[in-house]
Amino acid sequence: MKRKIELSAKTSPKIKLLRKAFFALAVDPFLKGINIRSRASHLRSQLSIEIEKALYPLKPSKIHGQITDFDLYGGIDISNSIKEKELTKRTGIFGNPSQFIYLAMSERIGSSLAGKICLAIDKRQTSYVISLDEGLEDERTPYSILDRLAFAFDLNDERQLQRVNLSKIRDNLPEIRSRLLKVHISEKMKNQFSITALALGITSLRAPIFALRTARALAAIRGKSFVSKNDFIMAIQLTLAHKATQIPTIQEPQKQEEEQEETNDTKNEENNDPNEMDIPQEMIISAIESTLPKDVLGEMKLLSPKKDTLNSNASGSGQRKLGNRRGSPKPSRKMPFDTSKRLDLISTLRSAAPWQKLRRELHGSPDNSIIIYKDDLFVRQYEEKSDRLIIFTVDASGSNAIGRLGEAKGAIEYLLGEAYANRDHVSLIAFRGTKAEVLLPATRSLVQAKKKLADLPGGGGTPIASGLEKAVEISITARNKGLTPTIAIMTDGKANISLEGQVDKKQALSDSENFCMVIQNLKIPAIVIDTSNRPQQPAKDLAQKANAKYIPMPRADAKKLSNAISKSSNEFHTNQ
Amino acid sequence: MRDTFPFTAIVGQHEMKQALILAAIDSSIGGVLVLGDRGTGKSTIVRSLASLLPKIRAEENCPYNCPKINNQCDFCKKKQEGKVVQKTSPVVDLPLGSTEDRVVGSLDIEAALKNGEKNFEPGLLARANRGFLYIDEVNLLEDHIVDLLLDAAASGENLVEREGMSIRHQSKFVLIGSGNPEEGELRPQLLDRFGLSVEVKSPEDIDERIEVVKRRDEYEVNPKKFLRNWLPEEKKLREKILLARKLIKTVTISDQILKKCATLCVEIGADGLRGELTLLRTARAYAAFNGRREVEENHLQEICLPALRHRLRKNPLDEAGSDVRISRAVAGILNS
Repeated sequence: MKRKIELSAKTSPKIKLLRKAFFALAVDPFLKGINIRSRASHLRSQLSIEIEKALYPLKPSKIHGQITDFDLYGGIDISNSIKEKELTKRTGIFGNPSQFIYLAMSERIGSSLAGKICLAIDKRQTSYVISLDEGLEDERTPYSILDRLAFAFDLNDERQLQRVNLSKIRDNLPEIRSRLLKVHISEKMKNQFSITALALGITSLRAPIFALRTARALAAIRGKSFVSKNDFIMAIQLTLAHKATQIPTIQEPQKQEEEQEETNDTKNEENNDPNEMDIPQEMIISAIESTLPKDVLGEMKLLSPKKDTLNSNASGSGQRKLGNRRGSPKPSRKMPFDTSKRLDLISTLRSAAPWQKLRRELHGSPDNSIIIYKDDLFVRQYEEKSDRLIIFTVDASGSNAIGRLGEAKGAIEYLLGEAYANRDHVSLIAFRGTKAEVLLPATRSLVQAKKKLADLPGGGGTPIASGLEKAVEISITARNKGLTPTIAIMTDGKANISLEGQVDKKQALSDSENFCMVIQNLKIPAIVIDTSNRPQQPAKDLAQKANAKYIPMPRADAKKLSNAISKSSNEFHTNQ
Repeated sequence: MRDTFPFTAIVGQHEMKQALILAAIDSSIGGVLVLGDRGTGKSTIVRSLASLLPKIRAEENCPYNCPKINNQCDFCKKKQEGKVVQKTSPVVDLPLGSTEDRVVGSLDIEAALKNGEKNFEPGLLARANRGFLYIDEVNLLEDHIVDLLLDAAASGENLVEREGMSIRHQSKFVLIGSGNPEEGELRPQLLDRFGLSVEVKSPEDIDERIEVVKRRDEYEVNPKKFLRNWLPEEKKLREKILLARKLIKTVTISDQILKKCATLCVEIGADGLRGELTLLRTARAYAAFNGRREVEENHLQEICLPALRHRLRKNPLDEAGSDVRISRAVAGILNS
């Protein structure tokens, strides 16, 4: 409670920036939009009001994960056509210049919808895109969309929004806009945008272009005809900081400098001569740093485009996210219809349409009725294609590393190649030291898998239980997403670290046995590859407890391994 | 239509621009696959193609872009008198998540409901006839759509058997696909269909990056002026393409060069014979583009990377490698 009061008394710098972003958006439609990360809260509802105010007279329209092409692109409005008894069409969300787009829960937007939205942005079929990201932790708006929007804010730590008074801008909008492109910007600054973007590890070229536009917009709003130092710095804060993937290596910047800048905002502007401006690199960097979140590194990892892979196959909502290929639509079919099925209205009408003239004559019905026979009905069909997920659980412990980690890596690499050919998903878990680590969540990107594998170090204890725990976790989530998991464990079976990470052989053994039972009970197909020098009992026991296939590595050349894995997963499949 | 950023004004990305030009000179080279990071101007380049390419002469309003009125096309059949007009060369976007209906075409519901007529509503494959079909994020495209495309691209026509209709129409297009390989692999069958494959990277040269931003800015401040400034360049390139199209028929290839092509493909272990064919066609187009009447060794050298890069039988996990392997083979064979 106390904190809230404190904050409302003094507007945080981030909110101030946000206000500037709204201003800039209102003035320059080229800036395309903003991504706001914020969970549902009081602030969020305030936000919607402010956005609508900023973009007035545009009207909001919402795009959600399950939106149909009809809603997006428009077309023949069937229900209305039937009601009005004449053909009516409806325009879609795209191509309607009087609307702007809310992307609700943008972190859950699948790659295909994201593709459509990007296309609409590129082709200027939409005015603004306001993407509202309600994601937790590592859920993000698709990178392709983020890259096409000028601004992004994370408001999860903010409590209070500043009311924006836009009337001044709105009244002068035509004038400001006409001034916009005449705003002078020095060559040096123009160059600096590109240089800064590169220094921040932003490879996309859209970002510096946005920065340039924003600087102009800020100057135009102030009624100036040149870009001042503050406009410049602020443009960088607004457009580049959130896209940064690295912090430039420049001597320790000082934070105070930036804050001073902020407070002096209005005073020293007039003194600036645009032509002989020299902006020290440190100042730019510090400006950026001040807008970066506390957990910089963690955030940055998430922002880097690779993260997007996780979402790339997402289709719409919630839990079924990663690589969920359940229900890719198949052509609908004519079949007896009951309420448990979904009617494909368009196809039904399509099949009935050519006969309407005949049928009307036959039944003597009025001209505008549509006569549909039972066998016109089309039912939607979805293909439940369950993809296989192979979870490699690799023992990178000391006992194994000395022995045959290299060989195991080679074997996995071969298996990954096979997985590629079968279009399987793969996941990689390594256990060593005191616990297991998920190196790679379920993905199809083998380039990543290979990188992770190559970087895998060896040494330390053998926490098999922890490795199995992770493997089971991934299997269960994978099943929920409609994948068929198979666990491939590569170990010598000599567990010596318990689940808690203690050196306790007895406990370690019973812990790993417990998880073997879990694997057996859940009927997850598994395979144990014994990587010890000679086939030995511990790994055999492990396999037996988990009802897994046991393959000693010496005999297992890579090809044999691969066959064994596909066989064991197929057997399980048919048994179930 | 809005003016697009001029093709010639795009900074860098030489390899991609060249591949597109060669494919525009000789469409039998096959498609162009562009793999690389986001925000490197892939889409901008492709979309700027339409205004660069020479206009095509086609029947007015014909959805299939027939060159003149004929008896095959179901639109032209109904017309009594043809009227040939200039049309911009089609560059059609195929968005991810397009339905089968939109791609191949389907029953025209409007005509069906209103008049009880069974008409065919042409899809994207019809619109792309005699032009380019562009798929962004081609590696994320649904498999069943990919199958349709492969079929049409291979046969040059689109055969529709659905809703009691049987329609066959020409669909000759150059497939352009782009994508980011880190987000998913491309199906090998589709990979093989592309004639050329180029890799784009964000320019790392600071001056180049600055130039990109500057030109973009210049364009946005005053698009009309910018386009006017670049018009001569565009025209020059357009004429060069037109000239190359004429010249290509007369370009000869010596047996010696043919042999080198074959040796090259054997050396790197390319599957099938598509490698050689693409190599030849591309080299020929390249020679024509440079105003030569005979394919020379340095022409081969210039185009072997995009023509062969994706044809190596390789371990899918072998990330780099292929460029190096090709270059080595080329150095060994061409200079011998």
